[in-house]
Amino acid sequence: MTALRNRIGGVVATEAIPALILFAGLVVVATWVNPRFLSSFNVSNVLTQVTPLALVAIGQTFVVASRGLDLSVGSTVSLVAVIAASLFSPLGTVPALAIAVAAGLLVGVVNGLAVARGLEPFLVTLASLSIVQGIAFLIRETPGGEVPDSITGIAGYWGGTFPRALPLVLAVALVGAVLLGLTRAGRHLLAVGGDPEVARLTGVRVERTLVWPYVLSAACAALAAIFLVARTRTGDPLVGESLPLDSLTAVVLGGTALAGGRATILGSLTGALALGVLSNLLNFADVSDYWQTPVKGAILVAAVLVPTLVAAAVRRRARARAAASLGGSP
Amino acid sequence: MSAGPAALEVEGVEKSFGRVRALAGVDLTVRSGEVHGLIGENGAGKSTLMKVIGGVVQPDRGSIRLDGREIRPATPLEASRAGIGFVHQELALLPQLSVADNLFLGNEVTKGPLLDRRAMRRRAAEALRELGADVDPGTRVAGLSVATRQLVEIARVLLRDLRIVIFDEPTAALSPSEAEHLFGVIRRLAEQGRAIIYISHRLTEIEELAENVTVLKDGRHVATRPARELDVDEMVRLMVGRDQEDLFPPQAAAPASEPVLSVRGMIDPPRVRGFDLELRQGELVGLFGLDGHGQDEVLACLAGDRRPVVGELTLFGRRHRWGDLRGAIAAGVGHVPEDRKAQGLLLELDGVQNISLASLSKLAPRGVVERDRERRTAREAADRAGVAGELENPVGTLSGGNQQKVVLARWLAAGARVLLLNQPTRGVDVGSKAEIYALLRRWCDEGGAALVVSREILELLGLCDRTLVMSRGKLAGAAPENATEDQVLAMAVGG
Repeated sequence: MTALRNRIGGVVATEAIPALILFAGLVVVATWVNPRFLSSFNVSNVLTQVTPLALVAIGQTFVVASRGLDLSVGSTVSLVAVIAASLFSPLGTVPALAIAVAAGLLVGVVNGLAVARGLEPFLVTLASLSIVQGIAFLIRETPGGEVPDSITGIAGYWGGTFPRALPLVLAVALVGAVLLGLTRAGRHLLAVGGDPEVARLTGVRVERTLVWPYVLSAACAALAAIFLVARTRTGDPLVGESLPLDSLTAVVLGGTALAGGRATILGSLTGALALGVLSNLLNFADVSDYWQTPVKGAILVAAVLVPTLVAAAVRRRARARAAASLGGSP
Repeated sequence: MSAGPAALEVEGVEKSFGRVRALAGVDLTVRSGEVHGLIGENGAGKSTLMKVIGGVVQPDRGSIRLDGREIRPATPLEASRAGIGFVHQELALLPQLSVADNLFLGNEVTKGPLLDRRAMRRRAAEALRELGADVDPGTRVAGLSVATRQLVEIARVLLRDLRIVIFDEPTAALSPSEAEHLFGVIRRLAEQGRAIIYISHRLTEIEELAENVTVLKDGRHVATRPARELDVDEMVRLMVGRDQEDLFPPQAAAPASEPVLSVRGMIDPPRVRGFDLELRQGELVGLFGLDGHGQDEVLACLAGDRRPVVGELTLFGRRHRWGDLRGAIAAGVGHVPEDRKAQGLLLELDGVQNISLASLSKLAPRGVVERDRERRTAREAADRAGVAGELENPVGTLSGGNQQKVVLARWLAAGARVLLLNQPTRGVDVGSKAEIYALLRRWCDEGGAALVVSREILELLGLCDRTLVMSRGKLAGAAPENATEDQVLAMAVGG
């Protein structure tokens, strides 16, 4: 048992378990409310809806693991989307993609370098959120651009129902999980997130370790942007607007500690899926958008609060038992 | 007794932090194969010197030579590469990672792009076995005992093949049998040709373990002598610069007054397993325990900062709720926490604001602080506490001793009558120490009472009217009249 846990421990963390339970619970409720929830049409719909969020959440996990947060992911997605959509027809598919992705990565590099310099991740990424959003608007005020068929195919399906992007998401998740759990860089990231001082004293290069999570987050945002361009067939300067908060929600639901040091890619993926199932469920039940946001917020609070309360109750019970046993034999 | 060549030579090292001169020209020579004791009071500069050697801070002046070659470690990583390692007082381990992961942090073994977890586990297991540590390298550090964590830190020394190993107060939380085991390990490390620097407050340990002893005082080198030429009294005299007795005010006659604070049957699992106390007016009582034996939790509970599961608390004859910080303050209880910088002071605020913090309800009856009255009250309390330095400046700029006096002034201003103090002279120079002792004695003579928790047994025995000893969460009793450090330690260890 321990051996097995050690074997898989690097990739699958126990922290992801509450998210898996939440996800399973939501699926049960959704199937009960909507008998056709598990139909292949609906499942592939949920998977397609959740793809950009899942990608961004994987990147966000690395930033949160370093004790940071990346608020700029949404505007990075928007920036990459408008650049790509605007350049496809003048430059051709590959150059357009290259320029758009490079612009996205640049945002990540700047974020990472600023944070490594000792600036607060919240401030840094809040600033880049507004700057990058501004640039996205300068490039394109309204959705538009031309998207070639070779790109739109990415958001298509095999055999009518199997999303073509699914293998991509799973591959990114696998690479992420291996990077986090099984490589030196991942170990250093967890160390810096867990306690930067301890990490420094044991010889980890803290500054360097703080840069790459932001670059990775931007890379994931760029992938999400290309997928969104493919699915919507346009470059929308606001397409990523909801992603910063949704991705943080998915990461926290997944069991990654906001205080850093504990992170799980599987958890974030499950968190993103749970949010997708929730939207699907609320949409089916015809709940208005105005209500969807507060429901998401309530689920987030509950998901974080319930385990905390359970843990506190368990601790209280144990203390009371210990006290009783001591009081019995003074 | 091997007297190898000099492994580490420190010469004329100076270091100031702001206006505080932490090191004023220190020399230290440690030979390979030697355990070198480093002693000095809190604030004497031991920690700063070790940080300089370990690459944590850079000296303003002076040189460090390792095996004859000058080094200037700019980071802990560079120091570690040069062969210098720490076994930290606050253990530098990440609780959520496994033992093996911690051991190889910053020094991982890889196979291609991936970590070679199997190789790291194997080598970690070998190193732990060599140290006699019975722990699976795959377990998380979070659940391990302090003694085991320490062995894990030492295993890091073996794995990195370090030449110079610094131990900073390694036995503060250990039982004697664990300490004995540790001494064996340290001797073996030295026999293998390493140079060991051993820092401790427990002078009997230095006597037992070290071949040579260097004494620091107020950032200066006082003496380096072979340990066999020194006894504990002589070490104390060198550290303090005067006889121990001169440091403490005379103790008071036994008071026969009403108890101002009493506790009955307090249990706060897992650390506190049964505690009773009657603190009388005018009394200065000490409380000693090995690290983790419950004395810190007792103090925090009395201050209202923790809530025990059962027990009765009476303040000035009235039953009191547990966990009621504001109520305790209102009743006249002042708390001087262990970590002055994190828990005691708002470092960015000035002295006036720090002192008035616990008196704001008096100073701002209608919600608006009366600044003149605030300044007057603070000034008056600061004078009584003997704060030297500008009250208008952020308290972070004051010396450790003055910072502690600011905390004490806060409770003078608030009119507290019972003081609960945890390590009140930690990081304080000798002069300020004597002044703080005198202040506490005056406090009690003027009708107050105080309970002092300290790691320094001699401080408690010298300062307090009586010293209580906790062992494994229970009160083991009061130290007898004219007790020695060893007697108190024996009580703290218990049967």
